[in-house]
Amino acid sequence: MTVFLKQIVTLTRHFARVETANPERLLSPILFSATVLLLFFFAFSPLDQEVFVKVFIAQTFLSIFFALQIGFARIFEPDDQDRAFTLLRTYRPIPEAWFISKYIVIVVFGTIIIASTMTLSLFFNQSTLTDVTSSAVFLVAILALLGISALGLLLSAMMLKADSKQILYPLLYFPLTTPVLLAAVQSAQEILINATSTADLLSSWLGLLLIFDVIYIILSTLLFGELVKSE
Amino acid sequence: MTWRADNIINLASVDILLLQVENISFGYRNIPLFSGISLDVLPGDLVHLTGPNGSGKTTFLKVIAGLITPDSGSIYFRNGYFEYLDSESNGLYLKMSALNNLRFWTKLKQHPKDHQQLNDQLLYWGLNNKYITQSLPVENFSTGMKRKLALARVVLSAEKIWLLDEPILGLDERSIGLFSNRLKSHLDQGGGAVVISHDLDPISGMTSKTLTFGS
Repeated sequence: MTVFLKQIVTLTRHFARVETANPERLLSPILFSATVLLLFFFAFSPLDQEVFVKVFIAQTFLSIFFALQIGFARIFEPDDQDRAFTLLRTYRPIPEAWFISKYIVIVVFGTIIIASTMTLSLFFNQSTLTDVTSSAVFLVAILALLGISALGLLLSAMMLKADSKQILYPLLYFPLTTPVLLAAVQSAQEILINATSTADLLSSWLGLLLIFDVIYIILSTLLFGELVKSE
Repeated sequence: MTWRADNIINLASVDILLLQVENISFGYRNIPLFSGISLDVLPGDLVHLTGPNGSGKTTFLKVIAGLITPDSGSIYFRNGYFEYLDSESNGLYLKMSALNNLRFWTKLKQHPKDHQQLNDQLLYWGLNNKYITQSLPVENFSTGMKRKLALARVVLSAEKIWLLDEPILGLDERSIGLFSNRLKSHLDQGGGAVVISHDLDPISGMTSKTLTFGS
């Protein structure tokens, strides 16, 4: 196994252990989702089918987005508690290996959050919902996750630099993730309301979502190295 | 700010240099903290950085460790790697056990140690209770225990160069003795160290060079 792969394995295992060592880190975003969905359920039920589907999409993606945001804002919290992040920089791991490892763990945990949110959403709306169980919507949410995870990881690393301005995080994160979310919401609407196939969507909103994913993943991988490298 | 090196490096020894620092300068917003510092570390060398608070010792060590970019100058490590210990932190993952912390750092260095080697090191530092080392998150450790764990990580790294900022902070008398012994055997085995310490006892008799910071 090459040093690059060895580092990915070591770091991924380690970051996964760190995340699972504190169950609160996963539980908080899921409970946040549950609370938002519960509020929506009480505020909007019952609704006719078309309005309901739109509300369903809005509430699900809103819950997912903010639940993930809670997670992203704390990505490096365990690394920063006793300045392990600083020590890690002196160990000079290959930056791409570091990024990929952290990214894998975030995407796995993000997927758990999305799956939990969608399950809860279905639970609250089971009497009126039939087709939203479509795996295509789940796929759209995962595609959105891939892009915003990369961006969230990059911006969180940026905030760890001693000379960084904390205010930059919300100013960059929210505007940059909005196009991804819009593309995801539009894709979900097309699937649920117009029954558009995912293959057809690839030339429109879903394609746009994929393009954002590719751009954010590549940019984040490259810029992350600049942020964490030893001088 | 001024500095002085107590001895002059023989040119014939350049090929065995563990660390070479050349003409390092650094300042905050055009106010120089130190300038033109050069330093060579040979096998067996212990360089003691001394000077009053705020004179730039810690910053200098961070510059060597690559955590701060100097305004000018260059740094060469013989094999590119070193082990660093910060004065204010230990680089521990607080929710994880002592054993898992050590296991991670040694694996990442590509010097993985087996269970026995890790336990032996913990035993040396007096961290030999199975529950404490294998299950208890290190966030429950005392300040001294965390420092000992960080020193165990430094020893296990097998790196030739140690950069230590106040390594005995929070240690009891017995542990300071343990640290001195480990440092001595590291130097005897051809390692080198750059150490900041206001307490001279633990490094007495081992210091081969002194860099003095301060106006």
